[in-house]
Amino acid sequence: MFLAKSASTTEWRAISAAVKTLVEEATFEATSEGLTFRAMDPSHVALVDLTLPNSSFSSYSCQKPTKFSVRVEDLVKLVGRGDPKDSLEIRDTEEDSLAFTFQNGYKREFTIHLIESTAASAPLPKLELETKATLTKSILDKVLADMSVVADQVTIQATKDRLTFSGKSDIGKADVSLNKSDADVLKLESAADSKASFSIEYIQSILKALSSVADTVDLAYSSKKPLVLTFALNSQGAKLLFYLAPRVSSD
Amino acid sequence: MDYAEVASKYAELEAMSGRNEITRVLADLLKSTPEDELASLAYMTQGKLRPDYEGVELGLAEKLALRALANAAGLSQDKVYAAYVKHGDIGTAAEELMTSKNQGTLFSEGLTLRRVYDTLLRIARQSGSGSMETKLRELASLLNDASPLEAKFIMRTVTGELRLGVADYTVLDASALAFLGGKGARGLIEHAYNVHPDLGFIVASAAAKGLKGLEGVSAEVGVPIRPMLAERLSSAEAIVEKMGGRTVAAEYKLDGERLQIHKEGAEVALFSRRLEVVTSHYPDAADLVNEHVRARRAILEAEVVAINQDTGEYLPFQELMHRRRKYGVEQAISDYPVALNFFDILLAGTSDLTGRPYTARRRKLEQVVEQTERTRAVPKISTSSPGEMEKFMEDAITDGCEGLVVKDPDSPYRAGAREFAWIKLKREYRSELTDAIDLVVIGGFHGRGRRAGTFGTYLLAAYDSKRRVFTSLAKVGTGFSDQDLEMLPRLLDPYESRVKPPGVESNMVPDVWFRPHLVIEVIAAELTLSPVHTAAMGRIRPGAGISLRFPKYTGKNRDDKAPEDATTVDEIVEMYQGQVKRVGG
Repeated sequence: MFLAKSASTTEWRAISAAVKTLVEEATFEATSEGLTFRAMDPSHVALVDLTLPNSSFSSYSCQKPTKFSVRVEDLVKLVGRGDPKDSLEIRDTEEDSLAFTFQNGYKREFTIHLIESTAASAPLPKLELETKATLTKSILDKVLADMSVVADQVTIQATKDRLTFSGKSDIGKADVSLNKSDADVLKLESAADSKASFSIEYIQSILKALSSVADTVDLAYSSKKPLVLTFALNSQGAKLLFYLAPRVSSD
Repeated sequence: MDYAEVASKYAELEAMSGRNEITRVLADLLKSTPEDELASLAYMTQGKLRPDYEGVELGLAEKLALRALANAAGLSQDKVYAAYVKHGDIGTAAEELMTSKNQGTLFSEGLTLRRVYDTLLRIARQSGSGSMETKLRELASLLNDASPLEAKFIMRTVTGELRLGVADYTVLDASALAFLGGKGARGLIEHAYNVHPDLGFIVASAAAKGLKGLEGVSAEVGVPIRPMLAERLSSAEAIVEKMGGRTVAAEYKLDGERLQIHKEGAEVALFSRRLEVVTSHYPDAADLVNEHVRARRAILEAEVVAINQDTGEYLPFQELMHRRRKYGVEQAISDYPVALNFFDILLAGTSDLTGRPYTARRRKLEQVVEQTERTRAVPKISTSSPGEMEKFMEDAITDGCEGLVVKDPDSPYRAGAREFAWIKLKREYRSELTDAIDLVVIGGFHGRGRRAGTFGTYLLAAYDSKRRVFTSLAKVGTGFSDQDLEMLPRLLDPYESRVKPPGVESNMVPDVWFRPHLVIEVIAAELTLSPVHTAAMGRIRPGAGISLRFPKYTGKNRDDKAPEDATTVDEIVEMYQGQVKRVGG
């Protein structure tokens, strides 16, 4: 018996949208501790690692570890039927299905069939990252939109007290500098100067998927290492980590 | 096996031109491939994933492949496109771009032959909504882990552009070299392949079971056999001489599509001459097979021809083209029904008949195929006389055929071979008819189907002005609207005659004669010689008159012309001689 109830549908809408940026079929793993999901896109450029501890649900129970595989497209459509104010209860049913119950006064219940999935669970890269920062999501959105005017990749340079974003192409170049003291920079720690480049499109699509949940985002990276973005989905410990492999050249 | 090894051999093969050298390198590659991956490798050397008749097609759109490449290389689509334009080859562009690959990955694993093959197969089989995105991701995931050289061959394969210069028969030679002790086994492996043209299956069988395994390969329902082909000679004399003056079989060669028909119980599959599945084009033909072929299991060959449903006349090949499309096949089935002319049987029950002589197969064919309006064993004579053959040829042309196929009565069915056991006789010359001509209606034939109760076909004559007689030239049953069909009998009624009217010459006897009065306009594909029609009898060749091939009523009645003003025999002869063209090929 598995049951997970959330007070709002907001997290699930964000989660399904985020998963959709990477894969078509998703396998969630449930234990008594909570619900997790991890998958990499087929090109091995990006990875999503999701943790929903049992404390992040308004009620949760899972008697024995289980896996649920669904078509992401179906999941997106289904949770899209919920209003933000609806509560959402997800539980397994006898015939290999998941039941989704929306409630805000009256009840609406959907059942979707689970699918067979052969996808192996993705390993997690082991990383020691030297630069760590917390930014408001709005400034990150803005900076990336600035960069995308001229380029499809962004180069991020970090020093102890400054974070510089730059992009360039045949069209021209763009530069944005953020200081540790700026209001949009909530934290900046850099053990060593770091410089790496990343695909703008990948970052923008995850930001868009999660636009309704987190106001801030934690960012961690090192020279020539992946970028890790951490999003808090609620204040009870639900979080989503997004890993992105760097571009090899910096122009 | 690592795909890197395959790619490096591909690169070697591509740079070679000598066939022996290619065969040797290919044999080395086959030897170093594990048995359970040989079939995949064999298909992939041909730029394919499965035998053609299964219809698994790669040929990913160029645009999509370039997008996947842009993703994997982490470059803008413009850059990728520019490299493609510069090299004019998607493989070379991929090789160059991957050398300067920009996007890193979180993890990478090496490519194996199995992974490349399985991924490509998934790409080929994806269809429907959202399939483009899936294909894109699958391809990008391969390219992500690919070296520049691997990327080059993956991109060429996925777009259907792999051209290693390695023919299927070269792969067979290489297999003989690798697994069967040398070129001595070439005949055996080629025969096995012709009867069971699945390259992967044959190569894998050679490796696993050797000569013994290949000897056991025989005709199988569901696997199309490579068709036996005919050589070509330009006269009946030459053919009779080539066949050693013996009595031979001469069959109509119809102007239709050659079908190989596989029947297993009520399941019927149809294959084209190129071994593609065409069952969906001819569901009505499959029904005809079920109704009129008296065998539970059989492989047959037939020519499918479009017919005019109201007259039973054969229509030109082009009318079959209505079937070769995705939509509207149902409409085409009712507008252009077909008839099947069976000409060979290769398997009946459990016996493979390919090794039996023609006469035995023909006998079996006649037992198995019911003669109906829509199904028959193709018309055939046995003769050793060139004259008789010429005459049969003229009949064939008048009936809308292309010519004859003359067959050695003792020859087995030699799958995939083009030899003089079968010889095509086509006309050396044809006389195209470019202008409409005006002909006199001298008779009518009762119609059937939608034309029951009226005339389905009319007998037409040209005017022989020297002898002052009307001589039969053609039967026409095409081009009539429903209105025409209703109006013409009323116009002709006053001229009906119980007997052949005076001044009319015709060997053909219609259901109803008409005294020469009504002149109608007709067009046709060409003028042909005919042993039946009396127009210009003997003027071009002794014993032959002139007729029309695929005549069609234009809808115009020439009320302004008296029958004596119709096109004359002299004009017809002049047109025939003036418009004779040598037939190409």
